[in-house]
Amino acid sequence: MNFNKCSLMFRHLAAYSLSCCCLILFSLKVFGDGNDTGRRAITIGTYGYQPHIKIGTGSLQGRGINYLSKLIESAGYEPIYQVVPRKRLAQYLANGKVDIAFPIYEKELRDSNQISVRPLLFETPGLCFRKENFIPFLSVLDRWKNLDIIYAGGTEIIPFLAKNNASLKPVFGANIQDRLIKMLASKRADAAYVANVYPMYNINSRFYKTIACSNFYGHSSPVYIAMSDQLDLSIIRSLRKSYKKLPHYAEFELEAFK
Amino acid sequence: MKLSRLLLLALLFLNNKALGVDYPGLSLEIINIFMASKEVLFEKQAEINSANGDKSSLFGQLFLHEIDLVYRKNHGQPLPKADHPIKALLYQSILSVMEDNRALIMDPDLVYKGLIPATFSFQLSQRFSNSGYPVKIKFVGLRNNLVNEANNPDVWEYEVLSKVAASASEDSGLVQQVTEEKGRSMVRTLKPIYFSLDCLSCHGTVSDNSVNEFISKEHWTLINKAGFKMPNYQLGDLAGGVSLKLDVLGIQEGGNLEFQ
Repeated sequence: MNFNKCSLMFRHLAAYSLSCCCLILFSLKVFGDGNDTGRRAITIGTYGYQPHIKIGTGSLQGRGINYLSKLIESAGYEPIYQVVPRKRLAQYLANGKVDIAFPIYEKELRDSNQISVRPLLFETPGLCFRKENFIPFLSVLDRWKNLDIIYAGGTEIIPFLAKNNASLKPVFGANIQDRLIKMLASKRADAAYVANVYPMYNINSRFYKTIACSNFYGHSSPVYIAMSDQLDLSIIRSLRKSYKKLPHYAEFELEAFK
Repeated sequence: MKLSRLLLLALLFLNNKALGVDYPGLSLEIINIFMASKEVLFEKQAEINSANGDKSSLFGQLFLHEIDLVYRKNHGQPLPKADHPIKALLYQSILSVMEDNRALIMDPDLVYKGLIPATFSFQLSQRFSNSGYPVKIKFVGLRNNLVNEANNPDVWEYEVLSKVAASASEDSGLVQQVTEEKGRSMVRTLKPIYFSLDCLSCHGTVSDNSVNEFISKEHWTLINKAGFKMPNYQLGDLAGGVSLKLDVLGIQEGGNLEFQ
């Protein structure tokens, strides 16, 4: 009998504790949305997109984050970042799971609102070489048509390269960028094809001392910031207004180098 | 046909004057800024290819200042202000292209970087023309001697260049026309470019080839710095032109180029 009474009391206590926990969590959620500043939170979906977005041990970093934060804050909102798998970002945006997404490509824009007609930046594919073998002009086909070129397996190859080089070899595995550069440095390949030159060859890149890259100009893809269709029109308008007032990303990038 | 196009251009000019935008004038300004930036790139070749040293004048406001100096020299007036979104876009595009090339420009291990007026202007035209605005600019070459297939002229550009090439005058000037494309008026401008002495170091004859500068004549090569065969152009030959296409209705429909 005593045992039953104890058990019943324990159940009541457990139910009470659970309710309290739920209430606390619910309160946190409600006030968390409003956050410390009392401003509406805007969720930005993103992923590691070097060198613009860097996912480190703590918070997200990079000039892309600085730019997005400034954009959201200057419109009067609070940015909350959510790291999303690359392949699901456009879907998250379409479903309204995030309010804003970056980076978004042209083909992914269908179910969203562009923040501006102008892309934030462009990605350009290219070939990376050991510095002593650098080829500055990829329009001179004779210089690279017979080279052994490696690339990360699964990367889309531009038709111009596929048509003019018969020695393209995919490389698979973890840390694929490092593998490509190691193979290049150890002369196991003449060149490495990359879908976007900038993350590989920039003055802050760890590969900068080893390689130099040339671009396939004319094959660039625009990259956008996009907003969810489910955002209030007033928020969409204020974000666009804020975007117009911000310095162009190129000028913003300059700040990062100062 | 010609007269109707001229009338249309005049009407557009007057109409746009009344609305506060002179599109033919704006087109010309855009081309002149584009050309001045290309000229600066030529002047800055030693700085670009140097291993070290101060390269700050190749970026940001300092680079725009260099363009201003060239523009003043060429046109007797300062670089136009960014008082129209298309001009602002061009300045932003110029800065972006130089930033895109920062790693290359700053690379101390590359003796020859390959950032030359041709590659710069191609990148600039791509950046400017793919920015989602109804305006396109590009360098167009002559069909029989193209180095870059992307510089292939369209029908209008080909007709204009053919007429310019056939004219007796060595320095035919600017051509502006209003054309129709899918029921829309396009203000088209083409400014012919002629080979100057500077250009011939890559586009001239074997004796002009800068690669041969410190080499005895018996070892001269026909291949220029870029890796192409010297095409044997002479001073004053027609090189091609800078072509601008501006979709007036597109600009007006776009609510002055941005979402409202």
